Amino acid sequence: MTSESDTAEATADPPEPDSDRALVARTVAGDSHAFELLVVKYQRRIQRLIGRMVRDVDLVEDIAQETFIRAYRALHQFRGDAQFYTWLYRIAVNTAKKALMELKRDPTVSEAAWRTSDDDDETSRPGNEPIDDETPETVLAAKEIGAMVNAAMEALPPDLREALILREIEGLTYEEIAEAMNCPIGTVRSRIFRAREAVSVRIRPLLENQGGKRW
Amino acid sequence: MHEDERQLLCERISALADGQLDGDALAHTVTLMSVSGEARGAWHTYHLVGDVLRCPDLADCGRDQAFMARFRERLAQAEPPGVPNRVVGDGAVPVVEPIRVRPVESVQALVMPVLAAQAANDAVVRWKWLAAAASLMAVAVLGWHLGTLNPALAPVLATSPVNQAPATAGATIAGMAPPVMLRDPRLDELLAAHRQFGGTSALQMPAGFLRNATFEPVGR
Repeated sequence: MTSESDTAEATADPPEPDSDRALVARTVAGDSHAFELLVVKYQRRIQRLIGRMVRDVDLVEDIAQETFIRAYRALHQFRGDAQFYTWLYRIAVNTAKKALMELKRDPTVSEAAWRTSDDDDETSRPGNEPIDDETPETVLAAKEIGAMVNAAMEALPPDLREALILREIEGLTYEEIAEAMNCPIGTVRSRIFRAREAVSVRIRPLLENQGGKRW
Repeated sequence: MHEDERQLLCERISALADGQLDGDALAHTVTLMSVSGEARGAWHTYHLVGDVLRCPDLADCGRDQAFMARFRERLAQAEPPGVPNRVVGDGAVPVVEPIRVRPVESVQALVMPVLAAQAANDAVVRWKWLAAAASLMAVAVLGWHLGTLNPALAPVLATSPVNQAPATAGATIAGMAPPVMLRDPRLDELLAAHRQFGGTSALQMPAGFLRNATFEPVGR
């Protein structure tokens, strides 16, 4: 049910073993707030993954919630020999598959709720029916955020932009970025932070318009 | 929270997002984010920026807050990691004792010690390198000078523990040359407060090959 691109996505994320492992370790030691940070970090990706398998947005969120709860309960079993997201990805796929099997057995659930995009063809879906939870407003809001991120990146000083690109897109470690940019690691840390903050300042008004009260 | 404090906290959050935070700094930052919505917002926004750069489809974040609000309720009810399924028959109890996360009274109460530790550690880290270089130069100069006065000392000086840190300093700065007491008021206060360094001579530098009166803090 998952495509090769999904598998590639699971393994193509920027390598962040240290960050996730530290938060995983704190969670296992009893700090559930650390796990919340992991959820905030991965919730969009996990929901996007599940959304390819399940159409109904409420079901997508339910399955995503269940995925994270299962991961939380089993966190002591995470051996750390793979990326945390790879481990989480497998839990999400298994949880979604299990949910789909149960849904298909339930005669009261509409087929449209679980039918995947693979089942689509032009005759089975009305022309303008949204695929999942997309509405014109959400599509526009997402495009605005995307456009603002790009504009903010273009407006960054070159050294800040390069540092952030090397980190977020190329997935280099701070040490690798320091070598590439011929600067100390502390400078890398500062540039990445300043770049993130500059972009965040530009998109925060858009986020507040969406969600109202902030975190 | 003052702007300087907010900037420092956000810089730590950014570092945490990249796995560049550990130990007490990590613990403090995670605790701060548990009580500060603004800090959690920064964590969310920084990751959103990264997600959007890698995949524009992930820009749809309108339901993120609602998702987290629901999740926190579920998480509060969930069994912690590693807790075995409760067995009614033999009255088994969970084997994992949760750590006690200290109660948080206010963000301010957490921020100041964090910032002080950050500033202190930054000062120590910066001065470590300078101290190492300065101590090497000082020993070299002293060795040259004493060797000039008394050639018999030269072999001793040649094997002097240039790179041997005093036990007290070595315990905290592993692998580094012993620090030199440079005239930095902040560093002086830090050293006096933490009492981590000792055994320095009146020459204000490690000089184990010379007999000097040394200052040994009480209890060492």
